[in-house]
Amino acid sequence: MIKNLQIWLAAFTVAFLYFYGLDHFIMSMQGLPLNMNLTPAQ
Amino acid sequence: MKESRYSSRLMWLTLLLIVVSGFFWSGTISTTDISGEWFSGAVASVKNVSTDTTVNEEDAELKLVPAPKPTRADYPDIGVSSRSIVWVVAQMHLFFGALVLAVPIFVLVIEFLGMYTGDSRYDDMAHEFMKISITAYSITALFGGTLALSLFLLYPDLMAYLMRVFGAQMMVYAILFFLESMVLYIYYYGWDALRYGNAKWVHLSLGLLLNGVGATLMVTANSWATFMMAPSGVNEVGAVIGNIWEVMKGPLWNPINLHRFIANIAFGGAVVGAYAAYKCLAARTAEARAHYDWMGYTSNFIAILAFLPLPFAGYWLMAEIYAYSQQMGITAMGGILAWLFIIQAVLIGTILLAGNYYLWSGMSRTEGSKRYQGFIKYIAVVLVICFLIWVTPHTLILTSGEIAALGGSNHPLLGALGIMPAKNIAVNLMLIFTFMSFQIYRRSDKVATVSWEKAGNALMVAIYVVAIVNIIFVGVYYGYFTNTVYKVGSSVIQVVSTLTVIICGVVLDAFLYRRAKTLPSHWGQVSNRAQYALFALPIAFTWLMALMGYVRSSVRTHWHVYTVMKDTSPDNFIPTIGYAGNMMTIVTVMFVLFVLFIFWIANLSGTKQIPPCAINKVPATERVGGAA
Amino acid sequence: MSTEQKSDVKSGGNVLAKSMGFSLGLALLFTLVANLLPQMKGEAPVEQEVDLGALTIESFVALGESIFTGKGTCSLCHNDLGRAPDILALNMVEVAIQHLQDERYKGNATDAESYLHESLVDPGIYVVKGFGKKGSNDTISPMPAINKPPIELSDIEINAVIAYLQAKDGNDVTVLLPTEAPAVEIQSAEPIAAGTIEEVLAKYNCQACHKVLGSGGDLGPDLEQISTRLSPEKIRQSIIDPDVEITQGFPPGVMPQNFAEQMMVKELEMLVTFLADSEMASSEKTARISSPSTGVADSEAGKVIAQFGCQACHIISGGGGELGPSLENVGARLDADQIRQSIIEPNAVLTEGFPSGVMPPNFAEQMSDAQLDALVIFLVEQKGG
Repeated sequence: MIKNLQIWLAAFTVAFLYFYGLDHFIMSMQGLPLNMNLTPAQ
Repeated sequence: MKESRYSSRLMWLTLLLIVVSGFFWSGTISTTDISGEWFSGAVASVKNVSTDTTVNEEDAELKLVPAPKPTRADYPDIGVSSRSIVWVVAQMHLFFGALVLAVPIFVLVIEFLGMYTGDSRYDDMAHEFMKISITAYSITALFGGTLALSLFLLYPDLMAYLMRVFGAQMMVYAILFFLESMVLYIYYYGWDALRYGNAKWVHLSLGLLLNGVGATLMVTANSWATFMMAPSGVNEVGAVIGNIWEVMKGPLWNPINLHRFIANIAFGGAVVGAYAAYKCLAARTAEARAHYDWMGYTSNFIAILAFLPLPFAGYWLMAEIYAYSQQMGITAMGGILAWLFIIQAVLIGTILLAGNYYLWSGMSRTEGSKRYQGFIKYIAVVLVICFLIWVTPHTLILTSGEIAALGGSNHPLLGALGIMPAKNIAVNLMLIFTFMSFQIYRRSDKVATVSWEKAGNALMVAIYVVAIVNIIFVGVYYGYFTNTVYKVGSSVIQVVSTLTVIICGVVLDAFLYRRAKTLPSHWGQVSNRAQYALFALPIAFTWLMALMGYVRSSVRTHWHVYTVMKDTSPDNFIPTIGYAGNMMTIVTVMFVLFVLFIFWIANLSGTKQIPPCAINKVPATERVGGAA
Repeated sequence: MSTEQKSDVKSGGNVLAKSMGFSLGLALLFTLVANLLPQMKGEAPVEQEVDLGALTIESFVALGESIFTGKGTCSLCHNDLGRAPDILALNMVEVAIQHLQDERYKGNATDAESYLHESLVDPGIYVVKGFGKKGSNDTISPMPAINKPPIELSDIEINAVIAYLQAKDGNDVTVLLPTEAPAVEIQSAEPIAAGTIEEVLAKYNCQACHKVLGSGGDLGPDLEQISTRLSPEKIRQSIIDPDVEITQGFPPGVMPQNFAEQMMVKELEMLVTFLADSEMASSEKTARISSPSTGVADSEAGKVIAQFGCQACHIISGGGGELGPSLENVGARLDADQIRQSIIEPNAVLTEGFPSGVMPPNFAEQMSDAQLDALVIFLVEQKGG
């Protein structure tokens, strides 16, 4: 049971980190920050 | 006996060598960066064209002759709209061209699979696919010839100009066409002669060569179309200043090449799928039904798999169009043609829904599918909602009365759904969920036996969930709360997220189901209704191709060659979408009729008349005259 | 064997009919969608000759506007969707002056007109922040040079666009009207210029206020001897911009300000030449043309109407001009108070179809109360028929 939970947590962590990195990478490729504080881009 | 087999193999190899070297030679000419002088010289010497002509051509180029400026009177009037004639013929040529270029691509893959797995079903199916392609090939050539004739007849100035710009490249095209025919016939008719052992490798190489020549043919022809959209290698008035490579390699060439290459595969898969569906419905024996059910499934698999990355290729093409000319981009996406993307949405929606429906119906074939049956209704709901968001129009060109009635040019509620970020979310989710159907189907007859099954599944689910959340979050956050710069940036994130899901899904499943236990599945055990989904696919694809052809051609507005040669013919306006729609239906119906002819021919070749003697019990020699 | 074959043919035909019917139905469904959408044709621009001699500033501005939304395809990007600066929402003359002062500006323009011209033919000289090509850091403009293909506006068309950009926010139009007449691509037909000086005088009702060719009112200065007082340039200026210099004894603001916009180049030049030639303008040397028939009884109101030249612009009792609304049935449209208000304060309420600012706003100061009353009483009774 606990092992199951660990598996799921690990899977989601991996996926989350991957997509977060992906977002970062793609935005920085276009010279943009992730801009998480709702300010309009300059 | 042994010796003769050996010599025939040697002959094949020699033949192959000649063909391959010929291909590489022509490939060098048409695709490498070479100076125009060497180019025309090389072609002239090979084709025995007198040196004088070459020199004259060079002189003409040196003098920098601008593009012609025909007046309305210079266009021959044969009493029917010239554009409509060229429209229909060009579209038919394109349909069949797409079919004959696409089918050998997946036939080669299936043939390879057949050899790799040793399952002769694959080989038989590949051979049957080629049977369809071979009749389509002659029809392609016939329409190509008709197209060339009608273009030269109806648009002499334009064609004279294009001939001058492309010069000897046209002859290379003709040579390639001969090569394509030869390789195609050898590939098809040599199928059984080169069936086993090393000979199979020769046959496979021939297939590869066929595809190589075919792709070269396609990109060569594409360069004419892209030159007309975004001319390169010519100066402001259309005089040739670059070599043939500079003329061909316009900004839109590669995006169109990729887009057409992928779309052709999807289209070809859809058409042979309809063939299989037809044969499946008409099958008399359970065995035949099972065979054609399996063939239809494979075709659908090919069509949908090729279709999934197509929006991204289209995205690249559109981005390049914007980069080339913002005006051209907006004419397509935000101007007079903007409405047509609603129809595009309807068509793509039809394709995705039909493809999904076919997969869901097909799950009845396997016993293991019960595990996944529950997902279907949710997938269906998501697809329908996304589809509706996608067809919600945003920027409408309205009359002032309509604007007043709406209280603004956007609908107060639907306006928020009509803008690009919402549509991007919808499209990407539709693709992801279609892939989910696909993956579920693929899994339904298998039980994984690898030790890390649980972890693998958890990872797959996590990727789906996070990707979907990411797509929605990015779309909403950047789409509605920040400015344009972020909107564009965020759409790339969405696209890559979708691609991630597809790639991870394919890769993960490949490993997860290694040495998997296969549950019994029963080919042919599928509803007849599912087969109609396979008819819907090619119809929607054909119509969609015609629609996109209308856009691609219309963005040039009143130019034959954008910015260089004006169209002053009576047909130099962009026709209404209704008129264009009628034309598309005409070409689609014509295409269907011709395809039926091809199917009929394919059947005919397998039909043998019963000798009269067998019926009347009269000795054959008396009836047939002893020839046998 | 044969029965089996037959049933095969039958089922085959059935399948064929069904699958064809299904395919055709689907194709027709798509056709239906295409035909339900709004139907728009993208017409190619049509080459049309424009009589440039017959151009007025007003029609030149209108030409500019039609190019802005039509042939020039400007509104494709310059709209409120954020693709390019929303020109329609900006006062382009002010914007131009701001940009000229920007340190990023590297061009040669000195004023708004030359700036606008430069930004049309060489958009890359100054790229507005945030609107440059992606990745160019606002150094490359996505806008095509407007005088090159595919848009290819002629110089005249470019000037028309500039005139429109200046005029749309009420700025002065500084571009010169073209004098040579190459083909311009527009769709609307233009009015025909008056041919003779008499026609010009009649068309613009000059004689309602000025004495010229031996007849006319005395609201404005006598023009018969104008050439002795003013140079041709001054005469031209006085027509285009009447209030810059006022002849002594005459109030400012009476003469309409918009003759320059209404008059065609040809007409203006004809008028200036005519007035500058004293011999021609004087009554002794030229044929006398009849003054507009008043047709009004010799009543108190009749005198007022004659004195203030109402018929220069309004039709009253069957005679008069058409610059202003006909007053023949004014009594049916307006009551006494409204009529009075319209004389005293002409711009307060306007008759539909007539622009504001044309009728002199100072009649109330010039008329006595008795005259005003007489006029109002007279007009209330004008109920048409």
